[in-house]
Amino acid sequence: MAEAKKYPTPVTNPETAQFWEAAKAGKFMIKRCTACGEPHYFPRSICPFCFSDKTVWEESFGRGHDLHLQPDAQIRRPGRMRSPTSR
Amino acid sequence: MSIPPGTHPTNQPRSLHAEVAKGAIEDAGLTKADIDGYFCAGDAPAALWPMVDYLGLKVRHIDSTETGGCSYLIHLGHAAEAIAAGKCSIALITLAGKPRTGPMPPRAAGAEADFEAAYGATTHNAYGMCAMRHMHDYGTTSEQLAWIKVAASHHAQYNPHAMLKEVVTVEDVLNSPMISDPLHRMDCCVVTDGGGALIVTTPEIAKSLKKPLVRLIGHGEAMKGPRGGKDLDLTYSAGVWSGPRAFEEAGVTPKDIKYASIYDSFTITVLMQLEDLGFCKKGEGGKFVADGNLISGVGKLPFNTDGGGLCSNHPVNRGGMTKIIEAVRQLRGEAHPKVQVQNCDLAVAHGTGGLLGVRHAASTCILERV
Repeated sequence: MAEAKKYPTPVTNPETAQFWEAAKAGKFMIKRCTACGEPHYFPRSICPFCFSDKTVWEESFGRGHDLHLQPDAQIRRPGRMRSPTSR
Repeated sequence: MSIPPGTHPTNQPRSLHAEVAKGAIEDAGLTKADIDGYFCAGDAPAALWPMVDYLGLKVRHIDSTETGGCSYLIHLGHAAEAIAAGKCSIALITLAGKPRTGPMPPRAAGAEADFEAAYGATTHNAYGMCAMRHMHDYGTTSEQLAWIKVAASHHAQYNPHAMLKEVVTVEDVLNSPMISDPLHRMDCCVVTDGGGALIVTTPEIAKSLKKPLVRLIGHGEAMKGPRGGKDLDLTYSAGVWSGPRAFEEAGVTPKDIKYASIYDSFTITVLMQLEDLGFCKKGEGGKFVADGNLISGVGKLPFNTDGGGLCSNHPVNRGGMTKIIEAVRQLRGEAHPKVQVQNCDLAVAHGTGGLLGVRHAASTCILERV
């Protein structure tokens, strides 16, 4: 059986800590700017659209659509970091 | 002992930088003391200032703009700007490294690494996503993508330095192992040691040198990312912005171009960029590249006549430098006779750096024979 994949533990910082805290409780949070009204993701303390610092957390309503499906045919082997064109 | 193509088992990256710098300086008929501007990117060991010292340069203008594989196209534009502003008169740009016989350079971890790393995406996945979405939106096929590799292989057979010299067919590409659906192994570029260097100078100094003259007449640079969730369309690159800027500055259109060096980390990279630059409409890239349209002497737009990254060389996983070099060879009439474009007086060199489908930079250079 293949080894269970290990995921890197996210390093939180004041800008993102609440996202990960909420994620532990099963909630997917996004940010919204109260100055321009626009939602954004990934979370920023300053709005990436209008540069206001009036951004607040809100729980995503939980629906979306897939932009793409990406099955990975490459078999990953431990220690093998080279491109598949390497031989 | 012979050294396999694309490898430099003993040289260190810094000495490869010196080797390509020496080659370019001597090719131009200059000496190292003439260099008063220096440009390098993230492949330079340590950083810019140790490289300047290692190379023994005395410069009055430096630039270490780092935009992955297209850094050197941006350096070319910036060197022309610096020269026009009088900040330097003879600029040297170098790239070198050895991901094949040395350690693979790490991919830059951006501000969003915490949010993206958990999904374990590889470079192949990021480009596979773009190809998958392009197929979904426009009906592009694996056969059409394969024609890009086929064209590159037709050119690589005449390049003695190419890593893969064998001419391949559409069937060969489709029968090669699937790497990241829909990209097969032969849709991916090679991993090679190597490098390259450029000299950029004023028209007056250039005229005093013995080499055929090539002039940069248009340059554009741009960046694209998900932009908070508003720019998630995977079927176009930042080339939609860098291309028109370069063509406008040059006062020419894609129809005028005789030869194109197009960044070819993967076949889908070429297809999307040809559309973005305006060689065909968005979504029609598949038809455009099919049936040998990119093969020199056969199709309407000869591309990557050195064999490109798909077959020849993609030094340090950064294809921008070799794109400029082959365009210059074409404009000088110094390409291999079997792939030399007749009366080649106008060329484009274009590339992206970073990851299509995630965040990346693009740069377009329009070059003319003087």
